[in-house]
Amino acid sequence: MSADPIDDPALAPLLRALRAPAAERELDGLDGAVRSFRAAQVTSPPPSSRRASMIFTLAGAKLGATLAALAVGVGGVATVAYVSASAPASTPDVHSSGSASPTSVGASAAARVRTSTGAPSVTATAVGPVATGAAAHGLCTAWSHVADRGKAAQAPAFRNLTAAAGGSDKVDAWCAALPAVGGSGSATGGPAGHPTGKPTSVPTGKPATVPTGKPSVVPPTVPSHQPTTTPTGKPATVPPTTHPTGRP
Amino acid sequence: MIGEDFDRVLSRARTGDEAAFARLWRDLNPTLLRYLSLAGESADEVAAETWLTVVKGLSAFRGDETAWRAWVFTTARRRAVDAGRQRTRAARAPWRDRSGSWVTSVEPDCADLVIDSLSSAEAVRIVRRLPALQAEVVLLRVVVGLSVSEVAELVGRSPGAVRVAAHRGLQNLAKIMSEQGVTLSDSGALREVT
Repeated sequence: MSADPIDDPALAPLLRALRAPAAERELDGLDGAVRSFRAAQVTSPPPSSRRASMIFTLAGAKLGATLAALAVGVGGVATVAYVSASAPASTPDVHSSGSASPTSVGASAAARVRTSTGAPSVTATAVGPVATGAAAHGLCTAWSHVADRGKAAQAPAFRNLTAAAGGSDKVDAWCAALPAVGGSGSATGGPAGHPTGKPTSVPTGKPATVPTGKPSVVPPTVPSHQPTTTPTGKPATVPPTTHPTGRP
Repeated sequence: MIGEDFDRVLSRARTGDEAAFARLWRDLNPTLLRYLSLAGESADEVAAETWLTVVKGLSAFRGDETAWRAWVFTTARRRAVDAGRQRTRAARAPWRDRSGSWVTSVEPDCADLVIDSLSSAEAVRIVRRLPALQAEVVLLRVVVGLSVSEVAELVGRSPGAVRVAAHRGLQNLAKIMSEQGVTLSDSGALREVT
């Protein structure tokens, strides 16, 4: 390269003009700018807190996904052990949720199964028939459009969803982990962030063992336990003791 | 540039101090207008939209003065690209200008420019004789004072491409200016003769 062209003396007048102090005209817009600044002050706190909460939501989602992936690892082993140890007839519950979505292969399906079964297996079974499979997409879509999740989580339909996810604060992550059949999963929280991360580690565990169970077997075992997993807890309905924390 | 005071001014503006915000605005708006004038029109509107976005995001912004400038000009460029799209849509030529380029170049004009007392508007008009990328990069590097990597991120090109564009842009401008100078002194000489 030759000498820096910026040192060319021919440029000096041009650069001087480009960097010249403000002309009167260029400061005309100050009043309008200050007005919009003032207006932004009024509405400012909500945006910033929303941003903060979004960050937490994203962090929560990431954490949830991580837990799900961990649960897959551990749960996969546990399930295999469980399956081989016990008679299939007596323990249909473990597989029920898994077999509900045998068509939708893939890591996230496995992860989803695990999040529900990885927890206390009894609780998770209660949810299987409702919140897995095709219904999950609808539920997730609906969930993503609900403003007040605290209240919504107590609606019967969402109770199953939150139970499957392991808590209303984990629904976004859970939904994000759904296979994108209808593309509904992306409608939730941070679209770009979620799907990328975890699933790679997942697929090792499951698919082979899954199809044994029949979804039809499930319901009998279900009603014994309440699927209410809302963190806010409805003391009236159910004590939150069965809360699937995702700890296997 | 605000310099040393910047951090204090910014934090005061962030908490709603109008005087502090006015200082930030006065410092940057002229440069912003000159940059946005590369599109040839509607610089004032786009600048106002830019500030509208900036004040909304101000409470969340963190960074030093260079980061601040990079942020404001990144915002400005987005608004300018939007405005450019609207223009082409209005011109019923939606298939054109897919690159996201918003700078409109101009042909050399024959206006007599007194080079030693160029206005900033005339200077921007000279810059607009460059190819769009060169014009934009020259202004962001030389006038706004952003680093190569900041400009690269802002315009969506590689740092290498930005370096080359800045270098060629300045070379071209030097050529334009020296030719302009010759023309002017010639015509001045002619005027003296007649």
